[in-house]
Amino acid sequence: MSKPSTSGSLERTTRQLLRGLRLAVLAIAATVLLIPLSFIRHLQVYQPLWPQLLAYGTLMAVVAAEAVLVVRHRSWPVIRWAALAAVFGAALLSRAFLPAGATVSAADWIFGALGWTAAILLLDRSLWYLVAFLALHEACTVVKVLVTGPATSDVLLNLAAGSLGTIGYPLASGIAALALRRVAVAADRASQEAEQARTANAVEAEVHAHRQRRFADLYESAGPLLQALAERTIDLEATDAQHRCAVEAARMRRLFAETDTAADPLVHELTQSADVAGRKGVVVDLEARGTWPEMPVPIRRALTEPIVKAMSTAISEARITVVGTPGVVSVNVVADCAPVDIAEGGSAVRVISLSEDGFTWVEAQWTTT
Amino acid sequence: MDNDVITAVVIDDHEVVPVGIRVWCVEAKPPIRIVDHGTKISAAWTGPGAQADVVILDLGLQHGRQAFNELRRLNESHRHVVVFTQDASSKTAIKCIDLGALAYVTKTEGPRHLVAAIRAAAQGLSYTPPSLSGAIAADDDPNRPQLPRREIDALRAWCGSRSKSMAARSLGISVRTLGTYIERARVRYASAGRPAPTQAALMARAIEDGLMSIEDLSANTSELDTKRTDAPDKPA
Repeated sequence: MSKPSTSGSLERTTRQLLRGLRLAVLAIAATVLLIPLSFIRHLQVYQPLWPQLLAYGTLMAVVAAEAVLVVRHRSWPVIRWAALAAVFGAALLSRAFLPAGATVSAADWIFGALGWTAAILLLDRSLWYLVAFLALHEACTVVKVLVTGPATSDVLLNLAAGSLGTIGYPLASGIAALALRRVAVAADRASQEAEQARTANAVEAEVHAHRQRRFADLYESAGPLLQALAERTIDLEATDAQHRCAVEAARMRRLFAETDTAADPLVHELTQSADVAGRKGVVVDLEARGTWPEMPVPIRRALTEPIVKAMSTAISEARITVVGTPGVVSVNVVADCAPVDIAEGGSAVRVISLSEDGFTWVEAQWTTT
Repeated sequence: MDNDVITAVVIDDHEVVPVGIRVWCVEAKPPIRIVDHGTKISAAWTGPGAQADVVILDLGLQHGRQAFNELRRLNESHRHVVVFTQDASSKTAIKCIDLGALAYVTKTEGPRHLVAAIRAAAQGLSYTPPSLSGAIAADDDPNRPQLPRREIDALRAWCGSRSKSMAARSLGISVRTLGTYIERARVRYASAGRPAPTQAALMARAIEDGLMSIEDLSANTSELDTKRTDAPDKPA
């Protein structure tokens, strides 16, 4: 099962795919505005001129801002809604100061330019925003024509022909964007799945290598013993041989436990070792107090190894305690076992062993800080 | 009747538990006399139990509800309570000493620690068996009293080892010093919560005996000076 993609990666994929379309819409909007043939030709018609210049400036500002954003690979911030309101306001202003009957005529420059400017602002949003904006613009145009303009057949024909372009083309770009966004979702999912597959492969390889290393360790100690058992060159009656078998059994249990993802690997490993002793008839009491950080496997092993050794010779009872205090993890066993010779657990783990009245206490202590 | 004999009453909802405790107490030297037992707290308030020196209280009294209120009321009446329970959780242990229990002994800790706890409690003294010691050492409650490092070390060593002499050897200190550290940690806990009557008595005693000074109790966050480590230890 694939994980739902993160919004970040989907956004990135969408941006990449929409970039071409975004450039095209920007180019069209810029062309419509920068080759202002109708605008220049009708300069003398606009009385006064300032509303047209203001409206033209507003639309140009949006186009310029879009150019900067495209270069910087950024999408519109929240200011887009203010910009949208501004261009719509510009359209109302421009229309309001057009001479009577000039709506949808050649002098009505904003009729064709507004749709593209809106497409710039709404290309990466839901298509419905663009549809709603274009519909509103068209409705205003129709009302304007019916209320103020002479609704002659020429004018109505102009309106119909013009609307095809002013609504149709920007809408087509919006629909293309929608299609691309859908492609982006699919592409993103596919890339996520590929990524997951790669990660799973890497994890599997690492787990396999780890397992190989652990079993290599095991063969070094248990291998000769198993061979001796097979060749019957070992005296099973001897306490020493029984002891070696018990140690190896516990060690194997511990190694198998290492592959588990138990909530607390340290306690889990100790439980496994305690089970082995329990099967020999040793009453084992295990107590864990406090918390400790996650620890590297070698540290965990250095902490459990002395305990495993002590448990393997326990006769009737053993008490294992794990105590986590700030900066220190201490693993202890008190058992009626033989004294344990302390192999240096490495600089990070300190091991002590004390005996008294037939009982031995072994402590392995790791200072975490 | 010998007035020096320590008397105790056992409150436990398992009939077999008082029987076992009675055997341990008879075998103890000198013996401890169990004057009454019952499955309800009333045994500690009425009849011979009302006069017992020590109340041995099982926490899991009534159908899973823990007997914290019973413990609080006993303590308010200056009764000396040893909690003896199956519940080994650190939180419960800390809560019980906060409510004024003089000792918290888990049932797996057996006669050795229970008898020692009853003897200490009879004199109004605390006893810290290994499990409780570990619970205090590992307590990570943000409101816990700040314990100096060596007190935590002492508690941890006592929790993990078998005897105070072993724990003391591992730390390179005397048994008496180890006892002092553990006792001090307990007194700090007693002074941290709302001081209940038995806790107030513990603190007063610690100050009287020179175990701690009032400054030690108020300056919970500072490292203590080491001069008083040879102060008389409590028979822990």
